[in-house]
Amino acid sequence: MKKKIRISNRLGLHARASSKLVRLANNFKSDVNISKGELAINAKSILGILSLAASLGVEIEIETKGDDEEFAMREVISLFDSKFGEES
Amino acid sequence: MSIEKNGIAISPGFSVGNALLINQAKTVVEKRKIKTNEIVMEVNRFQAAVEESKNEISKMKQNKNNEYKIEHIEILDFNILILEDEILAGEVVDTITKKQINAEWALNKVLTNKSKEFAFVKDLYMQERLADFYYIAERITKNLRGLNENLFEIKSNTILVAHDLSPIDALKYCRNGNVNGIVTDLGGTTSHTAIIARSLGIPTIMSLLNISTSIEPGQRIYVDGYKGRVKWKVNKSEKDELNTLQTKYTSFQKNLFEFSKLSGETKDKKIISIKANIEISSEVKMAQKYGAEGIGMYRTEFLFTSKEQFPSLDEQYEDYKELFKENLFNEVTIRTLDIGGDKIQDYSHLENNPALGLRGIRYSLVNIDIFKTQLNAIFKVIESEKKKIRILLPMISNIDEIDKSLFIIDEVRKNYSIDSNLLSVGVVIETPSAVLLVEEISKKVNFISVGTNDLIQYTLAADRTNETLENIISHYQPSVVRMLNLISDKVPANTYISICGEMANDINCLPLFIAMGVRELSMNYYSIPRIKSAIHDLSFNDCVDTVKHCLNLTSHEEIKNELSQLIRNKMKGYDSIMDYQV
Repeated sequence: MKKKIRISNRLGLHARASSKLVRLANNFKSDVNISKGELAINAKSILGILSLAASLGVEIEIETKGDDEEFAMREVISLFDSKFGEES
Repeated sequence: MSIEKNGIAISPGFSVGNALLINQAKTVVEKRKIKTNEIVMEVNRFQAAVEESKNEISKMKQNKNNEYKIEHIEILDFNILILEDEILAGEVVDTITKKQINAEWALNKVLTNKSKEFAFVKDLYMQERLADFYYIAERITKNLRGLNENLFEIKSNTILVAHDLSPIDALKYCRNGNVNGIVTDLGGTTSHTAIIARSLGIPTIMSLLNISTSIEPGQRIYVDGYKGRVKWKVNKSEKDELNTLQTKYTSFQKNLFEFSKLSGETKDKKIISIKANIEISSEVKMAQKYGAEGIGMYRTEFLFTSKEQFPSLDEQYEDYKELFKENLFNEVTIRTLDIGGDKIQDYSHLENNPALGLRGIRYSLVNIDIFKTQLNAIFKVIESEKKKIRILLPMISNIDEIDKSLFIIDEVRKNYSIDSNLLSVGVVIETPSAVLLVEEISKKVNFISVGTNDLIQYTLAADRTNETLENIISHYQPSVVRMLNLISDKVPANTYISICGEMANDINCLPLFIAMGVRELSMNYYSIPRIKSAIHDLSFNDCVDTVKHCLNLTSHEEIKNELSQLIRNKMKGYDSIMDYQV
């Protein structure tokens, strides 16, 4: 399944946020991919996420594919919604 | 104008050489083509290095001594993620396999490509993350190097310059015999690397603060391991001076080796056996070279604490067997484990005062399995090598501990067929309590060894690592001299007394020991020639007179003067030798 969102945390997918995303993505059986324009990367790879260089306001598309894709999608979205705990 | 730095003299000797800077941040990339049948091995090597790097970082994270802030932990976590990243590892493995090149080269290629990808990323913050990749790559490369030691070639006349040198690295770099000096920013006399440097006889100076950032690679440096002084960028006249100094040292060394061949015999034919204290088994070679007549004490702590787990019976067996390698010695003394709670990792109950805590024989009697394993290994060596081992029990403070220990020793011994003259058991006399009981103790065991370092600290109730107590901690203290006298007064006639500890290698203390009638002195191997030469110039009667006088003195300065006066008067070449006291 696919879902588009806009990056809403101030620092974007920087090191700390990327670390959190990678750790989360690795918990799922499903593939988790993120794309920005033409570029699609594997969210289970820190290098992939960093090369995406997604900053505040950028639109990305999240794709989860596999047994637990719905659960994975919900969790990933909720991490983005929480702004990676940045503001707290 | 030359530059000079002074640090702690760790291992004596004088050497000149070119600096090999061990700077982990500046690793050189080796390039090498590999054969088809080497691919699997090379991939394994890469994966092992990644694994090792991950372990290192995880350890940094868990190290309780570092009070990391949450940001630091996050950076470390980020680094671990990079190491775990399948894309990075996958690409490197791919490159090794397809291009058939070594792991270092492949890693470098992948990294170069990645940095090009990141060059398009305009975000400055992301750009900075590249630094993390380089840092990780350096770590992997360093570990790759450790896993493929053939790649490393050290030229002759090399002086290792490092911030801190791990014992493992010290052994690795010094293996081919081309390193003739070590200088480091950190470290002290009792560090494991210091022990290794001394065992290899490499002039070494530590605690030089920022030496590793002051010296350029390839710089010609002069290492004076006697005085703890490093010099570089020397001009012509200083060079001549240093060369003269080196010639002086060389002839001094030559003299020393002449002395090393002497027997420990006084002018009036009293014989004292001169032996070596060692901390790793491979030190036997240096001990023999410097004229040791045996190993008076093998401290087994390094063996026990250099790895994460205590050594198994087999590991200990292999290690103790080393002591008899090449038949250098027919008899060695193994001191059973002398560690306390402070030195044991994961020891949940931290003691307030480890020096007065569960250490030495106390620890062994509580952890009987560890004690028995050590005894088993010792007996196994006696059985297989048919060589004599003396077992030395540390930190005895009462008779009960001796009885219990002897009972366990007997019990374990039953499993081996050992000739009775190949085994003897002794006690380290290092507590005032043991001194007071020395008559009874001596009757129970084959010999006693006076552990002067601890006996001094317990007699004076002064911690010997506490620098503010330097004036109190002196082996010339009247109470120390009287303590020694008490021992020789109370032991039954013909008790075999050995002396170990710093005091044994102080020339000035020789009269005390000769007058006491000790049969053996055990010391750092490099002090042996000097002590032998001094013994030859002394006579029993001279010593007895001087010591009698000392026993009436009440200050440590007076005693020191009295003793050194005798040495100065009797010893030939006193001045030249005292110059190099280390």
